[in-house]
Amino acid sequence: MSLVWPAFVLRSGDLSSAKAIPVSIVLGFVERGVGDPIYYADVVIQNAVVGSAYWLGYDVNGVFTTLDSGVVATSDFTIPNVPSYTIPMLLELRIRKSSAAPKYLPYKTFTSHTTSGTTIYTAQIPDTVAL
Amino acid sequence: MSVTVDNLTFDFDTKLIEVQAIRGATLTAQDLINAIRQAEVTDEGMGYDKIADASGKDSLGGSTSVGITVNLLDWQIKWYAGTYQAAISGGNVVGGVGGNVIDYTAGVQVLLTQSANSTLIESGTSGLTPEESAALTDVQAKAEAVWEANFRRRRRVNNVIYIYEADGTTPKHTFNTNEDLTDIDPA
Repeated sequence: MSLVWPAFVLRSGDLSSAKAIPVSIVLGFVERGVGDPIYYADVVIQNAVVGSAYWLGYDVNGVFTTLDSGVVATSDFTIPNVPSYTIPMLLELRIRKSSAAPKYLPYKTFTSHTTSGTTIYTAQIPDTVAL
Repeated sequence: MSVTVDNLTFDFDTKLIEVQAIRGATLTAQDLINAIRQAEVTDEGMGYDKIADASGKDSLGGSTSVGITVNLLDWQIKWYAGTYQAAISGGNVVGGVGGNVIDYTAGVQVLLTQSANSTLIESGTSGLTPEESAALTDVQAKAEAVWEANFRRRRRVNNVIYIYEADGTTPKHTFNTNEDLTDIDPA
């Protein structure tokens, strides 16, 4: 449940005769649904190999569910407004590049998604076996 | 959910790598890991953990390298139905489910060759580096020179043994002997 409590000062006449009346107004509230995110925050990924495929998921009782996926266009990039369903929420990042040379081993890492956002520094390793 | 790469169908739900009939009865470790990496990076594959680890191909000098080992992570290989003998070659394929990398197919016998210390040798080459080849040639030349020098400095003609100087032509010692060399003069 979200509540907003703004305070206003009502004035009339000149300053000397002003009457300051604190007023609390309930603008309204929205109750968060059971499945709704608690908050949103950015996930920053650094040092990814351009051309890699990435997949970001979150933990639901041991099973990771997709949050976002795509292809790395720049080595440092941001996935904005990633929802969080728990505080904190466990994230899994997978990055793979094997469609064209140079190829890299499948890489994955885990981190906690916090209200202030998350930065993940990746370190992909070249694949010397697959052709 | 499945994806097919190089006539190998990867079923991510059953964790089976199904070999299609069009691919034939043989599969190399190199082809297997190539296809696995391709499958892992597909849209479907990205939603799942990696299929296998692979190691090997470390250089042992020249065109020789450590053999490939593909470690299937709870995945198995299933061959197409029929009556034939299939084979996996070119490296070790390990892991699977309970150490079994093959899912049974009726009528199919799979020949799985494994080695504790396998190597790969590139075809069409001698297997030696240029430096190794030069060193071997040098050793051979020196051995031939020693043999030649010894042959030239020690000669037996009938029952006479001649020892020559280092030039191989000037006699240094001469020995008279018999057939079985039991008598030598001077002794």
